[in-house]
Amino acid sequence: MMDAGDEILSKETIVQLQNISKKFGGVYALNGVDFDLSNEIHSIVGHNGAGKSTLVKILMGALTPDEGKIILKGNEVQFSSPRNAQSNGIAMVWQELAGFPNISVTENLMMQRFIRKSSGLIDWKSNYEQTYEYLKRLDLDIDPKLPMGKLPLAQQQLVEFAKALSYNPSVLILDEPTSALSFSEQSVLYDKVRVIRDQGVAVVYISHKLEEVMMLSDRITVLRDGHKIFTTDAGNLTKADLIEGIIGQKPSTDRSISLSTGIVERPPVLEVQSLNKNRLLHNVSFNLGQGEVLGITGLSGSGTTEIGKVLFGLDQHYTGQIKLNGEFVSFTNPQEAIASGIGYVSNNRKEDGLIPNLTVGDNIVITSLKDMASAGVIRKHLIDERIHPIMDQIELRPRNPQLLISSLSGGNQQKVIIGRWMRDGTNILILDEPTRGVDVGAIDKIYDTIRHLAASGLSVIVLSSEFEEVFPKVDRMLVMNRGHLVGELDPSKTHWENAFEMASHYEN
Amino acid sequence: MKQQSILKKALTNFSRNGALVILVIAVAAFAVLTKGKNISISNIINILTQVSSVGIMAIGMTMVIIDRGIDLSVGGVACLSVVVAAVGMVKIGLPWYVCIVFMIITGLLIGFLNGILIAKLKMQPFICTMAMLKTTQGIAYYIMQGKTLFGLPEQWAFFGQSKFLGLPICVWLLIVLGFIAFLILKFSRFGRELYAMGGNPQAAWMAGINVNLNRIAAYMISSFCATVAGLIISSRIMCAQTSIGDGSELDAIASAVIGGVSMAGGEGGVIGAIIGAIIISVINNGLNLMAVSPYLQTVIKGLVIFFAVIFDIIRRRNMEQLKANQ
Repeated sequence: MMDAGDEILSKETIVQLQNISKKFGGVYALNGVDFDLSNEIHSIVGHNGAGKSTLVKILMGALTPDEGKIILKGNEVQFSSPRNAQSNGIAMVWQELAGFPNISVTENLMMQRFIRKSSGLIDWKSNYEQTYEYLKRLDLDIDPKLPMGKLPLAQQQLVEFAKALSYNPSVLILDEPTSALSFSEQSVLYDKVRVIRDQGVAVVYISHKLEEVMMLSDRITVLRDGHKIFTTDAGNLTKADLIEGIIGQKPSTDRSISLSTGIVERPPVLEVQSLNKNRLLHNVSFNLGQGEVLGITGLSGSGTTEIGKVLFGLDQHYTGQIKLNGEFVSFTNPQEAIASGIGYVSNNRKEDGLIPNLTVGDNIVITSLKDMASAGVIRKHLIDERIHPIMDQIELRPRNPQLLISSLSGGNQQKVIIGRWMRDGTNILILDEPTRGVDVGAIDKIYDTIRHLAASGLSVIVLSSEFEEVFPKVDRMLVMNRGHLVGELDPSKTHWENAFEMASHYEN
Repeated sequence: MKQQSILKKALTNFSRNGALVILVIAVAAFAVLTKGKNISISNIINILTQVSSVGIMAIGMTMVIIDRGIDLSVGGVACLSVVVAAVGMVKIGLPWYVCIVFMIITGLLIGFLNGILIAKLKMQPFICTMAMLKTTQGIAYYIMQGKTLFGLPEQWAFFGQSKFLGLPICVWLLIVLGFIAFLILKFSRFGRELYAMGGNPQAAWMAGINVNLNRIAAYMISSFCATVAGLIISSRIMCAQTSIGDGSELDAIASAVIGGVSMAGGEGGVIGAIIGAIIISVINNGLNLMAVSPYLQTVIKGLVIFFAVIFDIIRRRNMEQLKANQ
């Protein structure tokens, strides 16, 4: 393994980050990290929370480091804002597309710098020509007059690349650019990334997909827990080395342990049979046992969220069978799923969960107002009888049902949303990323609640990309990889690293 | 520092009852300007009588706005339902009580149509109810052919002109319907679900609330209220004509907004909306007593809406700041 210090730079260094540290609330997100960049494709890899996004944010001016220097083409600089970094030649293409789908490619590219006629009116002809020229730099044959939203996702992504390039940056940061793309689209994108490098731009590439990183990169930097583990030429690296760098120990080469053996057989309450969904789920089959906590893990985009949506009636575009207590079901909306005993906490609390204008108490009883009312009139004593035990169970702080839910911390909000499903009639609870946006202290409490619910006979599915966090909390763990169910693990017998390895394994 | 927060709290409490505060100020100001003429019993009853029809429309409007919608069709509904009843009574000779049933059925049907189009077909409430306004008004115009229909049976005058315990029946209707709506919003399953839908429709749907059914019900209630308003107006003027309800949708919306009902949904209530309607009426009445030009009165009405909404925005900001300081 190569050390950070003894790389031989074949090309001129464009940016150098020296001894960068950044703390959040006393915890190091980055600790003394050195990073340099020349005209190359340089990937940054690491597990969730390793410090990738902090490093990138510092590079693009969204965060200022507590310690350390940024040296751009030989001069020390301080970026006060992303705009400031941009004007110094640092560009970024975001994971979530930042384009405007309703207006043309040209308008997307030329926004804020339209070519105008002497009269001050926009000169559309020149703008179209200029846009065409920008697109040509990436060999893109796209009609500049088309609305952005009419293009396939992959092309929209490439237009974003062209836009970033049109500002002639010296550094281009790409954040998970292939996460939404099909395989053939990905290889087009790889070609374009190489084209960008060959035009003299230093490319920072961030991806979860290890094979992609190894195939595309010139150099790779591995971060773990805020430390740089190593930077090395991609050619010198084996996948085992890379995984060892990311998770801190050697991946198990013994595949046999990944097959579950000693898991207690429970009567199944839910049987999912060959679930397929265009490009997102491929032949997914599994059972959920009575009182079981089943973890389904995968990297983001692996299909875990889609499973939850199908089971809760949010998505009807699938094939395959779902059996609930031995009977086939297919739900066309959440109401039907709830009536059949399913509860669901989405991974987007703000959009799908919180009702911000209501109190904590109202947010809890919202799923069971039917039971709280006789002849349509709400009975206050029934509400009190319902919410007080739930608030005790979830250990809500402060324990006040009259507070507006929007005034609580993320962790407490999440507890309330989970508490919403603690009602007679819920037999299966599906939680998608239950600890997302939750303060560290509340994470354990949430898992305690889940275990407690399971002990009382509820069956729970936890969908998550936090392998390490979920692993010890579940009875059984399924692993998803790009829409396929690739493994079943018994957490008492194996390590979470095996799940991570299975989830990031990539073959064409 | 402490003083400042007390001041802020006082300001927030003051503005939480914003509509009531504006009402008190308006009444007091006109009492001075009109030398007490506006607070004579007969004038107060006069104001309440004027308020009753718009106030009742504002009740239904409030429900729809809480669900992030809007109902522009109320004026048309009021007009068409009156025309239907009047044709029944005058041209066909049906008894008045049968015609009231027809009226209400007409209103509920239109509300149901609005609800279906908006809930199931996902039409924009603004567009859907605007088209409904034009459609219903147009049908009423066509039936009436520009004429006014007199000769309503004398029992018809009961709703707009009779009194009970010193108050006109139409004021009692406002009080009773307002109270029922208050109870519905505060203590019924439908009411609680409506606030949840206004706060976050997606989350409400995912919590298993029958969003479509509730939405249809809200538009039916709004149309029902418009029908009752039409009944009151026609009873006061004892004829059917196409000017009934004309422009009243904007008065109903203004009442709700002045009364603290948020157009963003999920906030406000019927009591506020009725107070909002009373504020508009008190100001109109006061300006009339002072013989201010009716053209200027319209300007003042506009300014009152501006004032009320700015008040509401400041109130929200204070609340957010209070929350942030906690």
